[in-house]
Amino acid sequence: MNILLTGIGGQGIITLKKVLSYAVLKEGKFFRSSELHGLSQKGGEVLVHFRIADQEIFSPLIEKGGADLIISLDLHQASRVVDFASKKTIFIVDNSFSPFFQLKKFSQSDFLKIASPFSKKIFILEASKICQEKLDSDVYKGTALLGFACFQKIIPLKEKSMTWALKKVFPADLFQKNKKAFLLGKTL
Amino acid sequence: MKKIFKKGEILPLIGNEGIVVGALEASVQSVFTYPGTPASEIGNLFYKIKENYGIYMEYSTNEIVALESGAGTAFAGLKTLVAMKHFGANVALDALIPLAHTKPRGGMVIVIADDPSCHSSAQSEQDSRILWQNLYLPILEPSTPGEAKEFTKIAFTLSETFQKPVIIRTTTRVSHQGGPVKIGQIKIQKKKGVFKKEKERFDTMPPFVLKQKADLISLKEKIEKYLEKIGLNKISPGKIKEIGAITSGVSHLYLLESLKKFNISLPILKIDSFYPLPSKKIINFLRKKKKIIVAEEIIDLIEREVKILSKEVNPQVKILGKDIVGLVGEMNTEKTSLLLTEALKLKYQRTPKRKIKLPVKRTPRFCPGCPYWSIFNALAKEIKKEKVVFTGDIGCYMIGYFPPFEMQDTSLCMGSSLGLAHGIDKSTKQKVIAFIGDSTFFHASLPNIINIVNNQSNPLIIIFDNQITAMTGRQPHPGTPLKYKTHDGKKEIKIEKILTALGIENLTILDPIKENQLLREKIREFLKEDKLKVVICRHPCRYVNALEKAKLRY
Ligand SMILES: Cc1ncc(C[n+]2csc(CCOP(=O)(O)OP(=O)(O)O)c2C)c(N)n1
Ligand code: SF4
Repeated sequence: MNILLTGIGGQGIITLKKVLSYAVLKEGKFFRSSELHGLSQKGGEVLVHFRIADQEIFSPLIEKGGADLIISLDLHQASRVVDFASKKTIFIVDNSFSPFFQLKKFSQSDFLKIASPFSKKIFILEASKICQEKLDSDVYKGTALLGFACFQKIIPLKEKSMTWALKKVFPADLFQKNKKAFLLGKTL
Repeated sequence: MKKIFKKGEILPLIGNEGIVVGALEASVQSVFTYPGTPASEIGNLFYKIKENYGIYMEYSTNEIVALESGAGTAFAGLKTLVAMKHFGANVALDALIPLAHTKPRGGMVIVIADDPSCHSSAQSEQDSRILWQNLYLPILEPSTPGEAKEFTKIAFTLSETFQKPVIIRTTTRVSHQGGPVKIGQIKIQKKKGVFKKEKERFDTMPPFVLKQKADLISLKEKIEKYLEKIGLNKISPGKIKEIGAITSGVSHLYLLESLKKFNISLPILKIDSFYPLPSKKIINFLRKKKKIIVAEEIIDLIEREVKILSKEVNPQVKILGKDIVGLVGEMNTEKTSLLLTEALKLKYQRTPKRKIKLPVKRTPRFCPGCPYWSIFNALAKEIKKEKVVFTGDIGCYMIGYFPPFEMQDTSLCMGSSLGLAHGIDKSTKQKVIAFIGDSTFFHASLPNIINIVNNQSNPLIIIFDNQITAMTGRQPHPGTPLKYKTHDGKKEIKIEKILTALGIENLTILDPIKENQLLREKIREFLKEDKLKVVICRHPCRYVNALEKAKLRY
């Protein structure tokens, strides 16, 4: 399965990659991923390629049109990566947009206009809103989206492995919050 | 002290972490580095674990300092690792070439990380393998995190066996590639080194250096045999006989992916050692082949060697490589598929170019609360940017290139803003403002500043002093206050003391957030008078503590 994780520098995309990595290994599966560091992380776009398989796979990169799942923490960013999407792609996107100098507004319908022709299914979820309400911060929204993907059985990983991975990746206090966020994924 | 990695565990690691674990398994004793993407995580991880494993590790002032110091510990018999990004190798090159002629007593491994497609390198797309022509040192190229670990171990043994430094060359897609890695036995070696005098070993005075050069070159065959014996540079058989592929680094993975997609099986020779190239093996591999695909990152270096070797055994063989995929940008599966379709005359439907109008790209910007906002705001308020030349440099302040500020007219390499400002000031009537960061100040600025003072030009030099090396992940540098250097550094070297000692009179130190009016006043002053002026804008990066606070979790 080819998963593209995307968002904006500082949103914790690389941490989400770590969570997935541990969960995959917990289940005895194989993964290969690719991430970028540096300038791109300074409030610019961040893209992580993450490929899961039962046996060894080769390329760390997903080809254009080759994503099965795109998880995005930002509506605009999700539309920036439609090159990787095709008729078989599921989108899980947080219903938020953080404006930047060249673009002040970007709506759900702007995103849908671009992405709809290249998708099997699109979920636009209120992860940041609900995390803000229930956990006092939207930094957990990525974890909530992973929760959604897991409970909807969109990713081939069990809840137990995912919680184990969260515990591995986060220190105790943050683990509690992230676990709650993950469970919120059920209600999205 | 608590050990981080447990034998037998399978961990998700990126290539750079694989290198660290490989070095630990090889009982590395000292580590020197200067940060730079895509090599930074090697230093970051050593910085956090050095106490756990009793390793001497330092962030050196720049890469040549790191390399020379590492040569020192290796001369004294310690197992030493030096890591840098590709541009760092340029800085270190003056020491690296003579070092190749010496014989370190402790194993010495030098990691150089290239960045095809310039994902995190503003300056240029560079292939560090070209260095081999002057070095004649083994260059190993892993393709996965697991190989990054294994090759690092091999590099240490190789270095100890032949008493030569060994280079590990990675690229971004190896350094930042994630995958499972099995942890092996880690043995800590704690012993003090001794420098035993032996001129012919450590000194490269002529004419002896020519004898050393001859020895160095003569190692090639022995090393080639050794690598053969330990099973590097493997050939995997394939069903098609008359077409073969030669691959290296991550390109190997892309080719395997394409083969799987087309359900084709070709014989593949995977080059693990760029130097020495397994020439005999290549020659045998070329026999009876009609076509050869070469998949490698950046320059067609293996390809050219293969072409030369083919002249001997099989001049008819057609070699497909950069002619098809071009010399610009990184490899990927699309490119290896293209090579395959050309070689096998396959009908391959490239994903048709879609006509989608994507919304504008989000460009990098300063973090919320970053002190650089205030510096650029002050500049924007006081200056019409058309009227002044801004020579930029390498660091977070390059974000000033992007909207809304767009104040950066040049960038070459670390420290270059000062040389450029000097030259432009000498040759024009224009006002020049040079930007430079604090880590870059220590790394590469002193000769330039001395030159500006000595040969008298009059730019405004703004030092973006955020007390840390921010762009590469917040590593400490010589000027970082002690409170942020929890794992090393016993001194805080003050930039202003250096500048005063150089005779710079027009010097102001201010906090760009709290004293923004003063900064604006200084800019106005500069526009009016024709005098060299230095303003140190000192305010910590918002994440100044990040590297220290980050908990190690594996
Ligand atoms: C020779 C060389 N080594 C390393 C790098 C990687 N690099 C990019 S920016 C930077 C330093 C930034 O530090 P500083 O000057 O303090 O600026 P800041 O990012 O903190 O604003 C480094 C080391 C490089 N580009 N060239
Ligand atoms: S990392 Fe620090 S210096 Fe760089 S943009 Fe962010 S706050 Fe500013």
